[in-house]
Amino acid sequence: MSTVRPKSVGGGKPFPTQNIESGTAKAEPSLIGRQDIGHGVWSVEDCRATRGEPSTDISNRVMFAPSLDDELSRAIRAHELMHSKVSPTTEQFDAFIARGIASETAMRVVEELRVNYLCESVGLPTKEHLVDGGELALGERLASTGDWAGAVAMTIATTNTAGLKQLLTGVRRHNRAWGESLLAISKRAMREIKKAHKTGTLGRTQEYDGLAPYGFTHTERLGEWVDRLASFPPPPPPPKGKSGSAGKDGDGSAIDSVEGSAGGHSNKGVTGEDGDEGDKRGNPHTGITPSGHGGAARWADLRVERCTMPKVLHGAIGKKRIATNMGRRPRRLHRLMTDPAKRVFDRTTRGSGGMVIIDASGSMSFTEAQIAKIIEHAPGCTVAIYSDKNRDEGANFWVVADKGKMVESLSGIPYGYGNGVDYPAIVWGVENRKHKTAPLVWVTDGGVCGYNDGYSDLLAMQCLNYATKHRYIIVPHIDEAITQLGKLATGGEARSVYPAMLKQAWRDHMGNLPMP
Amino acid sequence: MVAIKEGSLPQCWQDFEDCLNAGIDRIILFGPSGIGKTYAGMNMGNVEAGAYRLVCTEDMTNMDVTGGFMPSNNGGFQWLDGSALKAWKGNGSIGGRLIVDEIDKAGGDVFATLLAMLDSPESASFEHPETGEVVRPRDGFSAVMTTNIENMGELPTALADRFTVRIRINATHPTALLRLSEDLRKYAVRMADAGDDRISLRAFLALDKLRASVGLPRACELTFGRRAKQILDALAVDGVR
Repeated sequence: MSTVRPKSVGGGKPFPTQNIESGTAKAEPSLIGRQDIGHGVWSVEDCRATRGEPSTDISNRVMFAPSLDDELSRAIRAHELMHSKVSPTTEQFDAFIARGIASETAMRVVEELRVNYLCESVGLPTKEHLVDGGELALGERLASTGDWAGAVAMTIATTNTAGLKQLLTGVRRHNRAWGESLLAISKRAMREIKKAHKTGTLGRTQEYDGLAPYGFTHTERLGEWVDRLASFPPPPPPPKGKSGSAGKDGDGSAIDSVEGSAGGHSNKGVTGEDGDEGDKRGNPHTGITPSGHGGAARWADLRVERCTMPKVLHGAIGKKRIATNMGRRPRRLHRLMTDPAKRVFDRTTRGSGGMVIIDASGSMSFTEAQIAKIIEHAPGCTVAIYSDKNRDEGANFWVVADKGKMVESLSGIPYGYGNGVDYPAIVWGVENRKHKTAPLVWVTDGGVCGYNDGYSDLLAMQCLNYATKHRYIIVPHIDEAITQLGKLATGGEARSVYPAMLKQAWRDHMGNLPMP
Repeated sequence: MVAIKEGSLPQCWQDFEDCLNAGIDRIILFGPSGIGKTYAGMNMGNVEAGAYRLVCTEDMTNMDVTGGFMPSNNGGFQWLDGSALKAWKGNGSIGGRLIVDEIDKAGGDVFATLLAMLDSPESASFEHPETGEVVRPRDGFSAVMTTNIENMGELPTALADRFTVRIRINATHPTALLRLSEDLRKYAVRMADAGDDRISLRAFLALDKLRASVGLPRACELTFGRRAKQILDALAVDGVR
């Protein structure tokens, strides 16, 4: 999808390749229109019906599709036509990547699923005929090399095609437990895509709130789920004496049931019929579920303002004493006996600073005095507060303490409105800390909201994933913030006390898996 | 290729309309066939005084252009005006419009006569062979030439000199589209200028008529031949929501 082939240049010796068997059935993408971009004439080139050769470059309107008059070629042509109808252009795709909600790979594989499902929905037979022939070997390779993320990606990409059966058979030959988990993932993916189709927006190409095509937001939402699935450790092998129930080698019955397995979706992850089954089998991946919301939820632009900071703050977080063999007052006399280097004196190390990001939205109900209290307990830290008014003007992120100084008063800062910039704010914290080892603290109640929007679990998971990846200490209220900052100030180890809403978001998406 | 946003008057037709409104009286419309160039020439702008069409072929004679004698009921001969002369005369008070299709296909004699008839009003004149009357184009006379030639450099110099405004028509005119069922209009617009793959409005009109009696798949087969399957698949994909 959306790739441009380099044209050969010069008159170098070409590598001998098999001639393409040409037919007369040429794809007709010029007939297809969309609402987000203007119509234009396509250039359609012939290619072989093998994975990697057909492609659709929407930006430049170039399509490579086989022209033979057989069912496989027809399915590939339909697949590429559907890309031209609903998939994003290179620029649009870049915009989705920049949102940071789902990875590029995850969105690409989910897009394959969306495209194949939409083909089926209009009667084009991708399910029966779309198969490369290399899936069996690919499945074997992925399982034998332990490439769990690759296996998840390929499972999603081949779901609702004839290739899935071959892929899972290949996987099962080396790892039965993986096969079972991947089948469950495939079933869940199908249910989610069907659910999205029922909203009537799965193939929509309109622009919404600056994002287009709208239908791709479903891809993004499911891509975020695929990222979580892929990043979680692969399933353990089943206990001895207990064989998996799904799919013996070469038996496609389990896969065949994917289509007919539509059931009620449960965001609890472990309560649906699959969930129960998954737990009994010890399959943790059935607990990892996609976000129920998403759409075009987005963050507001972060507009940073550095406030005037006339007030001096004494102290520094992370300052501590370490033993040394030079000094005036020996404090560690016991080391005369135990330390060959006789380090009986103390040396004070400077704190590494820190970054405290405070959610100052209305739901936090902070008073000025409370915020000031947090700032005072975070000496040497950079402290910033954020709140967005859902207007595209004025600052929504204020640096209120930095380099040992803080603001005199918060009276001029319009905080106490919406969130809007939770994710950009914590990203700013990571990018602007003085040292990589500087502690990061995020004070939030977990009520994560996008621009001009209510709570979004998709955005909440994005924040949670980012914050835990960068070792943010997440605390829900002022008292806990002061407690943890106090620990940091004395060189202790702080820990996250997750707010209830983030815990709920985790449970909804990751089942009973422990929080990081 | 100009990207065409659906729902608005395509730029090429806007250009044509602007030229007519500005009083330009010699215009070439060129582009793919079956897109409505002749239809627009016959109908757009002020055609109160009549629009007269002349389809050029190698075998046509000057009689088609200026007129000629034809046997009459009383056993004699009667002069009948050709299209160009009719357009010159218009409705008697203002000149009409002459639409010349495929002028590049006219033979040498006819071409020379057409050049004379399309000359500037000060130079153009025709002496009636029967009455001796000198006929000149009336005020308001205009000429629209249509051709499928894409490269305007291929036009004879004398003709190119008379028609300085040339507009490439790459979109079906919205009025012509009204003859087509609503669900097929967007496809006619998209395929009007699709290069080698283009499908003319006429083909869609045939499809529209056929599908009412034999159904879409059969109508597609009859209209598009071996392209039918691919076109049906593309229509299915385009219908996705």
